[in-house]
Amino acid sequence: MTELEINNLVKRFGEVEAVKGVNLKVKAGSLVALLGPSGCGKTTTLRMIAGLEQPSKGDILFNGSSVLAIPPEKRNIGMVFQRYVLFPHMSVEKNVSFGLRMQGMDKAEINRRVAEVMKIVQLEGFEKRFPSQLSGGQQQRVAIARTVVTNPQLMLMDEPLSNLDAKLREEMRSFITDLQKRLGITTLFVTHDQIEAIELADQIGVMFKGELVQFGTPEDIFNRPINPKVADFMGATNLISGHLKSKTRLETEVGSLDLAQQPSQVEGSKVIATIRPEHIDLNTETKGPNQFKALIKEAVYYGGIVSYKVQSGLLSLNVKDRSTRRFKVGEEVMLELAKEHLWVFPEN
Amino acid sequence: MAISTRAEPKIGRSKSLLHRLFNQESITAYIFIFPSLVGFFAFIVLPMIRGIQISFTKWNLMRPPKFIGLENYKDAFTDPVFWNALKVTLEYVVLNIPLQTLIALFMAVMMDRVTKSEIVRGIFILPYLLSNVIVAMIWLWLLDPNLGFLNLLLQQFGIHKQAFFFSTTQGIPTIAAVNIWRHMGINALLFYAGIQGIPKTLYEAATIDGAGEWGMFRRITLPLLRPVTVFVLVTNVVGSFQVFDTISVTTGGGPIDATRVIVFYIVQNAFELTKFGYAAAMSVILFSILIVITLLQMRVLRGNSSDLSS
Repeated sequence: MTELEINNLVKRFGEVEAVKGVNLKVKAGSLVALLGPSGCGKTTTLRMIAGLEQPSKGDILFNGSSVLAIPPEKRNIGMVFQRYVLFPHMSVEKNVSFGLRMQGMDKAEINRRVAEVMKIVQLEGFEKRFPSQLSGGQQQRVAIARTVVTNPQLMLMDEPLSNLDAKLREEMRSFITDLQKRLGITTLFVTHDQIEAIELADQIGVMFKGELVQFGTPEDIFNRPINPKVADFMGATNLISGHLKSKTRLETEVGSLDLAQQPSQVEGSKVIATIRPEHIDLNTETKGPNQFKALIKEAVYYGGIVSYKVQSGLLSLNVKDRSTRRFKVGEEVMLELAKEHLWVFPEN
Repeated sequence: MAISTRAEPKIGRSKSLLHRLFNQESITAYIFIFPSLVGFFAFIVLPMIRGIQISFTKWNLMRPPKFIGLENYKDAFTDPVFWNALKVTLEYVVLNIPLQTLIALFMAVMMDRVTKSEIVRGIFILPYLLSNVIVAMIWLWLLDPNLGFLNLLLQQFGIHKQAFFFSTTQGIPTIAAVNIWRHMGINALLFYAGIQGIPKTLYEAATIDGAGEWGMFRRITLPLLRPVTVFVLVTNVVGSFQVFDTISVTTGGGPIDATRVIVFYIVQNAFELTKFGYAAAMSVILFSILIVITLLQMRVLRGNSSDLSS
C-alpha cells in the first residue's frame, strides 16, 4: 500500500498560477477526495501526480520517495478519466488487458487477471463487446477494471461519475467505495460534487483558486467549514452579516442570535454567520431563541423536500423542509435557526 | 388480437422509394448538386460509356468505327506487350505505395511529436505543388548519367556513375523514387490531419498503462488512422496504376520496354498507332482491375467505418 505526499506543489501556465503551493498527505489505503469548483486546480494537481504535467515547483512522493523524475508509464499508477477514455477500436477484453500487455505479461496470466477483474466489476460475458456497445455505467466499470487490473500502487480518478445520470451515479458511488475498500488501493478522487465527496472519501481536501483551503474528514468539512467560501460550497448557502455582542451572542438585522460554538473573533468584531438550509426550522410552535418572522418568496418541490426562499427585512434565506407541511408564497412563517449549526467567520 | 404476417405490398414500397427520390427535400438537393452532376456526366460518365462503346470497334479516326465484338479484348489478352506493361506497372505500384505510405506516416508522426511548425509543413507540401512534368524534368537533370548532380556526388565517394532512368533494372525504381518524393509530403499532411483527430486523452491513458512511443504508435495511432490510411491507399494505388507523365518526360517507356507502363502503352496505341478501339479495350480492362482492387481494399481495410465515430 502506498502513501502519497504532495509538498508545496505549484503549477504555472504562463502568467497563470493554476496550483499554488498545495500540501497534502494521503494515507496508504485511504480514499481522499479533492473537492472544488471548476478551474480550482484539482485536475491539474491530479495530472501532476500522474506525471502528465510537470510541476513548476514542489515535490510528489510515493512512500517518501520523489517520483518527479519518473515518467508516467513507470509510476505504476492507474487513472480513471472523466470520459472513461476507453480505446474505441479494442474490445472490452483488450481494453482491460492493455496495461498487462504493455508490461509483457504471460498470456495465461493476463487471461486469469482479466477474468478476475471482470468478475469484480460484474461485467462477465462482456469481454468481446466494444465500447460503443456499452452503456455509460458499463464503460465506467471497464475503465475501472482497466485501472485496477495492473495492481497499481495508486489510483487516480478524475470526476469519473460526472457523465452519468443521477441514479447510476449513486450506484457507482457504492461500487467504487466497496471496490476501493476491498482492494485497499490508495485513491485520490477529484470531484466538484460535495455529496459525492462526502459519501466516498475518508478525507476531503477543498480547493479554491489553486489553493487547498481545508483538509479533513467529511464531517469536519460539512459541519465545521473553515471559511464562508467552504461553507457556501458545502451547501451552507445562507450568509448573515452581524457583529459579535459576546462569544455566544450575535447581533444581526433580524435580531439577536444565540451561538453554540465559541468564535475566535473578539467581541464587537464584524462577522458572517452561515447556516445550512436544512438547519432552519419553519413555523415553530414553541417559543425559543433565534426565532424571527419571514415571508415565503418562493417554494419549489423536489420530491420529499420543499425548498423555500424566505425574506425577513433585507435578509434573504434558503430553507429546506422535509416535513409534510406546505407553505404558500406570500405566507408569513416563524423561522428558527438551530444555534449549534450557526458558524461564525470574520467578515473579510 | 392476431398479428398480421402478410408481406408489405410492393406498390407501397416503390411508392416510398419514389417519394424519397422526388420529395421537396430531394429536389432541393438535386438543384444544389446539379452543376457538379453536369460535369460528372459530361466528363466522366459519357466519355466512359463512349469508351466502352469504342472498345468493341476497330477505329483509326480515318474511317467510321467498325463493330468487331470482343476482338480487341482477345488481342489484349494475347498481347505480350500488354502483359509486360501490366507487369511493369505492378512493379511500380509495389515499389511506390508501401514506401510512400511508410515515409508519409513517419513524417506525420514526426510532425506531431517533434515539431508542429507550419513552416515545416509548408516545405513538405512544396513538391506536390509542382506539376508532374516539372518534377520529372528536374529529376531528369539531377539524375543524368553524365552531368547529373547525384552522379557527381556518388563519384566523390568512389561509386560508379549510375544510369538511373536509363537502366532496365533501375528505371522503374527511379521513377518510383521520383513520385515518392513528389507525393510523400501531401500524404504526410493527410496522415497528420488524421492524427490530430485522435483524442490526446487516449495517448495519456495508454502512457499511464505503460505504453512507450512504439506501443502508442502501433496500438493507438495506426489503428485509429484507418480511415485516412484507406483514403491514402485507395487514391494512391489508383493514381499509381495511372502513372504516365513521369514516364513520358523521362524514359518514354524505355529502355527496351522496361518502363512502358500500361497507361503509356494505351496512349501509344491511341495516339501513335491510332488504334483507338484497342486502346479503349485496354482502358476498360485497366478500369476493371482498379475497381476490383479498390473494392478489395475497402473490404479488407473496412473503409466504410471509423472507430472514432462511435
